[in-house]
Amino acid sequence: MSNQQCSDLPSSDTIAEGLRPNLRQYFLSLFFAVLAAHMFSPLLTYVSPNVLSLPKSQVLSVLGLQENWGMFVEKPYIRDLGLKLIIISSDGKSRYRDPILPGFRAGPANLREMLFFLYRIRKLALGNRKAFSSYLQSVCASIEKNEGEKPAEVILQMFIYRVETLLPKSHPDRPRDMPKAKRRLFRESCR
Amino acid sequence: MKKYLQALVNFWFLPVDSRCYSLVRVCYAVAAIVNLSVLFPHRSSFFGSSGMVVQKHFSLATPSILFLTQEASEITMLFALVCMAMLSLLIGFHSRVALAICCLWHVSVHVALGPMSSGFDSVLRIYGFILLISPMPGGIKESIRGRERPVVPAYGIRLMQLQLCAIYWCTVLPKWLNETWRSGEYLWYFLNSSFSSVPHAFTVEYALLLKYGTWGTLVFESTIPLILLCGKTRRLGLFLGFLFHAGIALLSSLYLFSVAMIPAYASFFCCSDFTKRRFLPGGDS
Repeated sequence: MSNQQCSDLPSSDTIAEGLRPNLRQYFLSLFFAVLAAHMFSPLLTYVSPNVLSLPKSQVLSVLGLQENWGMFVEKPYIRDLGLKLIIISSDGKSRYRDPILPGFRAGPANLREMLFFLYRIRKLALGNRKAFSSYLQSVCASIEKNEGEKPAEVILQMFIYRVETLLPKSHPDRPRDMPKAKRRLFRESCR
Repeated sequence: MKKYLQALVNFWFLPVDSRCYSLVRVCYAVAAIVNLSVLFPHRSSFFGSSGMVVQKHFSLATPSILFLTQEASEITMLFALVCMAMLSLLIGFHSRVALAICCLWHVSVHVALGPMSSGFDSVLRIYGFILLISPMPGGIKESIRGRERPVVPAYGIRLMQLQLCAIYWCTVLPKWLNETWRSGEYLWYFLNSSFSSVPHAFTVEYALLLKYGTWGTLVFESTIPLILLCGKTRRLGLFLGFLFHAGIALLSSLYLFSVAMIPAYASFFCCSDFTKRRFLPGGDS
C-alpha cells in the first residue's frame, strides 16, 4: 500500500526480519482484520441478498459503525416540493403558514430540511400513514405556543414535482397525461 | 500459520511517519467544523423542543447527548462546547479527549437525526472512530518543543485507506447492477432532482456529456481505490479524487460529502509528501 513508498523509513522486509510480534500485536492484528472485513461486508449482501443477510447489531448501530453506502443507486424522482400548512382554528377559519419550524419559515431551503420531508415521503410510500403525524403535532404545539390558542386541525398541503415531467414527450419513461405536480394533503387533529 | 500471522502483523504494524496521522487529524477536524457550522443554523429545527423533530428521552438503547436537553440555549452551549473540542483537535491540544468528544457528538447527531443524517455524517462518524483507535502523535506541544518525528504503527492509516476502498466499492457495485446507471441516464435524473444545484437548461444542453459523466462515475468509483493504493499512481488518484469531489460540490447540494471525504483522501498522503526537498527548488528529488 502507498505508505510503503516512504524512502526514509525501514522497508517491510527489514521489519519482517527485525520485528518480533508480541501476543498483543497478534490480537490487535486479528481485530483490525475483522474490522476491515466488516467494512466490506455490504458487498456480500449486494452479491447475494437472499442468502447473506447480515444481522443489524445494536452495538454497531449505537457506535454508528454500520456500513451502508447504497444511497444514490435508485434514480431520484422528486424535483421539488411545494409545502404549505393550513391551520384550521376551532371556529372553522383557516389560514396558511410556511412549513419550517420554529418560526414557520419557507422551505425546504437546504439539504437537511429536504431530507426531513423526503424521509417522511419514503415512509409514506412504504405504507406508514402516520409519517407526518409527529411533525404536524409539533406544528399544533408551535401554534399554541405562539398564538395562545390550540387549533382544531392542521393540514400539510404538499405539491410533489416529479423529475419525469422534465423528460421529452417522446421519452418512453414519461407517463402520458402526467400532471405538472401531484397534490397530497395530510390532516392531523390537534390533541 | 505463524508465517501468515507474522505477515498480518507486519501489514498493520508497519512503521509510518507520525505526520501522516497529524494530517488526517487536521483534515478531520476541518471537515467536522464545517459540518457543525452548517448544522448550527438548524439546531432549533432539529433538536429543540419547538422544532420539527420530536426528540425522545435519553435511554441506553438510543444514547444521544442531544436528548439530555430541549432548551434552545443549552443546545447552543452544546454546539459551542463541541466546536471548542473540534478546534482543540485541529491544533492537536489534548487530541484524544477532543476526538472522543467529537465522536460522541457525531454518534449523538446520528441518533437524534435518524434517517435524516446522511452519508457525510456516516463518513465523519466512522473516520472519527478509526482515528480514536489510531496512534495519536502529539500536536502543538510537540511542534513547539522541536523536530521530533516519531515513527508509529500504520494500522490506523491502513484502516482509513481500506475504509475509502469499501465506500467506493460498496457504492459502485449496486450501481453497476442498476439499469439507470448502466444506460447512462442517472446523472440526468440526479441533476434535475432536489439534490441538484444546476438549472434544468444545463441538463438539456449537455445531455450527451451527462451520459458520459454517468459512465465516468462508474469507472471512477470502481478504479479509484486501486489507483490510490498503487504507489506509482497515488498522486494521480489524489488529483482525480479532488476533481470528482469538486464536481459533486459544485453541481449538487451534497458539498458536505466532498468535505467529509477530505480526511479519507488525506490518509493516502505518505511521508515523502511531507519532505521539503521534494518541493523546494534545488532539491534532490
